[in-house]
Amino acid sequence: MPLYNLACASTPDERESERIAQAVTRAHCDVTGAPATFVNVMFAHGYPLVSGLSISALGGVRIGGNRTPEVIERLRLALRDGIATAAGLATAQVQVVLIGVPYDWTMEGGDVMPPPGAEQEWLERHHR
Amino acid sequence: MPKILCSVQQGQVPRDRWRALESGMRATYAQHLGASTLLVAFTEVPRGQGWTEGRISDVSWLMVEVADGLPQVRREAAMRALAAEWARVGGVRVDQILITLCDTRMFAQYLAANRQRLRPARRLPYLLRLAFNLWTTKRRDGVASLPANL
Repeated sequence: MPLYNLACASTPDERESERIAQAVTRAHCDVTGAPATFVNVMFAHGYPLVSGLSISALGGVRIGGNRTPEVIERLRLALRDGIATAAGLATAQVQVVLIGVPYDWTMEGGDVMPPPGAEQEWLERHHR
Repeated sequence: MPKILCSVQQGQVPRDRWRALESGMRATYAQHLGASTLLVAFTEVPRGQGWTEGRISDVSWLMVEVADGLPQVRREAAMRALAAEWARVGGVRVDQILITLCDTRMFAQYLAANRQRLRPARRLPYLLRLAFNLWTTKRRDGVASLPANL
């Protein structure tokens, strides 16, 4: 976690998807300090999105630890801007909706996720 | 009825194991969480549409609905058991699984947010299409599945 589900009005090819996925990963890691290995992105094509939108990202992200509402809002804006740049879209064509999930409701890499901000110790424990 | 949404990277888990996976998830869910009926739906994520760490993903993404306020001890035990079962039957490593046990209220919030990004006139047809897909694939293949794309 996070898992970002990107519904696209069009059908981006693999190279464009890679660019967007990397932009999402970068934005998430830059703002939250989480390791890239946690970041998952799924694309869904051909969605009849609300008028004016080309991509809508729905993300489940860990909450708790050092993730204040201000951090979550900065993350939302960084994701919107990163996706727009990578996809060559205006920011108004990109929507990002984040749903906060308690960190210990998720298991990844074979163990229950750590609180946001406590990833380093978790990673060392799991040699990732 | 609680739901388990399983997103599987194309080629990661052969389709002929999906029925056994579904059975395994049902049995494990019943053992730990007690539901007698359950909707298990699979989505195959085509190559190039699933990414982890900015690279093509080999991770199965499982979203499991549980009762609101499930105590953490039970949640964690169920999470570990479901992941272990998925790894055993699917032939993947447990570190190739991302599993979230989500309260019903949050699960509904997620599904509603997914619908609300569609044009209003397309929301009902979308839901009908999903229901039709679940029904026809369950009858045809023995396992309910949903397409990754519309």
